[in-house]
Order: sequence, then C-alpha cells, then structure tokens
Amino acid sequence: MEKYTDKELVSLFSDPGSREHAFTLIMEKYQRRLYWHVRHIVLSHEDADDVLQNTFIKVWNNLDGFRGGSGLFTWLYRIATNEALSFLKREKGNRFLPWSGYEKQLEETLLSDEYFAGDAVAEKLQRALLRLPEKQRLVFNMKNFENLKYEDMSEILGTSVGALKASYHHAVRKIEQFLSQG
Amino acid sequence: MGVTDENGGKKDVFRVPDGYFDHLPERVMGRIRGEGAQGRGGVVPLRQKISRSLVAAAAALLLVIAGHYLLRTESVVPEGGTDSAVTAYVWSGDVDEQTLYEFIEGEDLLPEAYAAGGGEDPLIDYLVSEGVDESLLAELY
Repeated sequence: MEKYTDKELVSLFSDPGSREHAFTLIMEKYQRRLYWHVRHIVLSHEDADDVLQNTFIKVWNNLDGFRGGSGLFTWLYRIATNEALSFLKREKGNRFLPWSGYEKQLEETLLSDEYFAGDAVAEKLQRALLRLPEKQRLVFNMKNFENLKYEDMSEILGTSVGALKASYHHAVRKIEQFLSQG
Repeated sequence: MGVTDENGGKKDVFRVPDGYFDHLPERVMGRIRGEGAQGRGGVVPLRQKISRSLVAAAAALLLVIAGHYLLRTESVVPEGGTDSAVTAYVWSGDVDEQTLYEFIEGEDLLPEAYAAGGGEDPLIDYLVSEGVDESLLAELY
C-alpha cells in the first residue's frame, strides 16, 4: 500500500486528476478504525456497513472544504460518530419507542447478529454497555476498545478532557455494578 | 460465509465478513460515481426508513415549487397537523424561501445538519437526498 501523509492525501484529493485515487487511499488507510468505531455504536455489521458507506460519501462531498484545523483522522472520526448517532436516532424515531424500548431492541439486534461471537461474559458486558447513557457508552468504547487518548476524544466529541474522564469513570462503575448483579 | 476477527484495538467479540475491507473502497466509489452521474453527489442512506409524512411532505414540496410559478394568491401559514399544513401550502401559491425553510424546520422534517467541514445548505442537502430534481431547486439558490 502506498504511504502518504494526511496532508499529501488531501492535496492529492484537491487535484481532479488524482481525486479518486487519493480517496481510495484514504478509505484504505482509515476504513478499519472507522468501521470498528461505528460498529461499537450501532452493533450490527449490516448497519455499520450502511453508516460507514454514508460516512465516506459525506467525506467525499466535503473534503474540499476541510481546512486542516483538526487532524484528518479526527475530522473523519467526528463525521463517523455523527452519522452513527444520527442513524440510531432515526431508527429509534422510526420505531416510536421510548429509549428503554429501543435499547432492548438494540440488545436483540446484537444477540441475533451472525457476526457477534461473544461468550456469556462478553454478552453481559455488551448488555451492560447498552444500559449506559449514549455519551457514556461512546466514551467507554472509544477508551476501552479503540484506545483513543482523552485529548483526541475531546476533539472528536467536543467535550472537555475532564468531563470525558468523569464520564468514563461513571461508565466503569455502572458496568461493574451491572456485572456484579449476576 | 467465513468471518475474520479484525480489530484496530483490543480483541473484540464482533466479527466482520471475510474480504469486507478488501471490497469496501470499490463499493463506495461505485456509489459515488453512480450519484455523480445523476448530478449532485448527495448523501443517500441505504436503509433509512422514510415515514409517510416525510414522503408526503417531499411530494408536496415539489408541488409548492411548481405552484410558485402558477399561482399568485396570498400565502397563509396554516395551523394544524403536517398533512393539512402541507396541503394548504400546495394551494396557497407564492411561498418565499425563508417561509419554506421555517415550515420544514417547524414540522421537524429537516434532518440534523451536522457540521462536516463544509458549508452546504442543509435544506438543499435534505431536498436532494429525498430525490428532488435539482432543476426545480434553482430558485432556492
């Protein structure tokens, strides 16, 4: 795989002659990290696939306007996060369910997904995560599964590092309580 | 179908189909080229479910824009539910852009316009994503 810096990729993209090639390289570079981020939010592979494709199309349409104020990856991550959360909001709205009802449905989606291969403990952890407020679940996933630094998360989510640390702390406490219930 | 265990971080319980990442870029480019051939490359959700009121509102919006050229009567902002309001707009005639925008926003029909680094008009994005012909939107620019 060719190796370019993000700055070089954005520059290549700005040239119509190399735009498609540059965009393919961007997708190849970031698709896995973005996919897993989205997957942890929406849970099923099919939904993650939809959201990720829409994310990349959104990137294609807006990369010309990217001014480099944040890093390219942060910008991509932010779009993917917004797309995933918007997806959940639309799905919830389409079902006319209170949030607790939709959380139950997400749980069923998770357990019935052929691409979920967790054991009983993993299943219980995922159920615990679904009981967290959306932001806390997001923070927990980004810290625990995606190994993001608080500073990066702060840029992506637009939340202070202190608030993120508090959010993570509360998430861990709630998960521990849920898991200890047996 | 085989599955692989790929994750950028810790070992995970989620799986992804074999070869998924090998083909994703070409699938996305295929969609982009396909949308480019149709005109503006707007975001088109694959599995978004559209409520009946949204479909009705989008269709009525087309009629309102056409009605802008055909009817010249006083426009009235009706109270009441979405369907009656949309119907009233269809037949009311002259509707300016700001009124249209406020109507759609007030009826909670406008999807969230999240910042993505660009400066696209969220109303135009929404209309294009709902399949409204771009030539009918010319007056809104």
